[in-house]
Amino acid sequence: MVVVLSRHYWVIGGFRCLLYPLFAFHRSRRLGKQHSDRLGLGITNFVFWIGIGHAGTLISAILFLCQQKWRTAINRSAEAMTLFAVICAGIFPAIHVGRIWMIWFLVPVPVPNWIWSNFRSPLLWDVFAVSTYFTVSVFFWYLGLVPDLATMRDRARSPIAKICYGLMALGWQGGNRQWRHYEMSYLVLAGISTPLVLSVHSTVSFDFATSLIPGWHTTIFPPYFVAGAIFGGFAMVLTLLIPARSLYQLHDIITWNHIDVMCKIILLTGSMVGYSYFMEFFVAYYGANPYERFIFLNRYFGPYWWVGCGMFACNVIIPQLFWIRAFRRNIVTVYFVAMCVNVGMWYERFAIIAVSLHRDFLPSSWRMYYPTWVDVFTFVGTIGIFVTLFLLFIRFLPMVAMSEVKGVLPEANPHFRPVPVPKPIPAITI
Amino acid sequence: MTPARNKRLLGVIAEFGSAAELYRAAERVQDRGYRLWDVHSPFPIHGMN
Repeated sequence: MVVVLSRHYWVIGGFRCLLYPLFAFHRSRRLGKQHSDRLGLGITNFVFWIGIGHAGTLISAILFLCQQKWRTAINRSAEAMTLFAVICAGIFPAIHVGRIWMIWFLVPVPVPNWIWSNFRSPLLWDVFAVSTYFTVSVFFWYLGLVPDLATMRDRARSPIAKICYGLMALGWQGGNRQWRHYEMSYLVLAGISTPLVLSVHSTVSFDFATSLIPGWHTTIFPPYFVAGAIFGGFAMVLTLLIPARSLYQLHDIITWNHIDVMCKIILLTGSMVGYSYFMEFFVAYYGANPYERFIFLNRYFGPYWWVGCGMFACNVIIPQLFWIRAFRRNIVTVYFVAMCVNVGMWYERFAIIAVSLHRDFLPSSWRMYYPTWVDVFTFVGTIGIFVTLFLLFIRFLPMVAMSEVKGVLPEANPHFRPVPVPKPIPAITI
Repeated sequence: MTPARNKRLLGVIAEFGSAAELYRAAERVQDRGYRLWDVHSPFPIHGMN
């Protein structure tokens, strides 16, 4: 199976590799020249990628604590997706602070250097939030991988693979004592990750909420961003897993029930996002702040009306299709909605960031925001990194958590008794 | 090394077909009072402790 699939894999991988030079070379051209609204795409992409990362932690931590057994089929790949999305996101702060040679200011340096980081800056909080999130997610992902890496070690044919998997498996033997410790540490890590699901995107939203820009300065941002992040993250999980499922024939593992449940989560969080849109609009009206009112009218009816309306259609209206069961169980509609959500969530960040900035308090500084091709290719390049890392992951690591899937089967229960096959009733002949 | 010493019993390994069989076997081994033994499985079996 791997041999057959590796052909697809290298074709896609080769295409991605073409994007890197563009990404690396041209990124440096415009740095440091940017006006405040020229930062639009950098921040937009940062928030977009961080948001995508949230589904992985939700699936791995919160659903684990809620004992949702269906998570086992998708948690490994969702967690991997989380890590890769955070890696992509991590590139953008270097760009969106505008002066890349000052980026080290975001990290607290030792006191004797007499360099004082501004602890009141939410950008600094971001560094803490995102790096904590990444670290915990790596631990969590790796801990879950250990038993499966041991399986890979035992099944590896080439000696190099055996050594590599063997080193990574940390001497796992599957003994009962090992399982006991493993499960306890998994539970502890799930407990640590759970607040992170809520805190990371809240902190990201503080970047905006603590500023005074109309359209940013609202208290609804933390829950609104978290709901949006989970919403966008699940859409990305579907975007990646539906092709992987059919390429690798995983229909028995990632079943229609899994897709159905994920669609319901998208519906729920999408409706929460829709509620936030309405509430933002209402508060702008009810708050009687002329700048705030203007910015919301401008978002939906100004020169960027297509961003505002596109975001509203993709995030609020189209996911309502999932009220109908038939649409949750049709590959075309599920994929269509997931792609709409991906686009819509990017639009949302663009609408909040760039559209709010392009017309601020001073009409003399109003102008349209046009991303440079450097901006665009930077974003395209991160999509390349994301897809490449994901493809490398499904090539070299077990993309389904084997031990966890086995553990939730009915046969794994020691008190399981197979249902006896009823004996055929002898035909009574009279 | 004498042949008799060579035949000293070092350990016993048994393989079971299902979690339920393994669990029953583990119960028996524990009831007999053995100390140095462990159960290996490809997934955690709850209640095995």
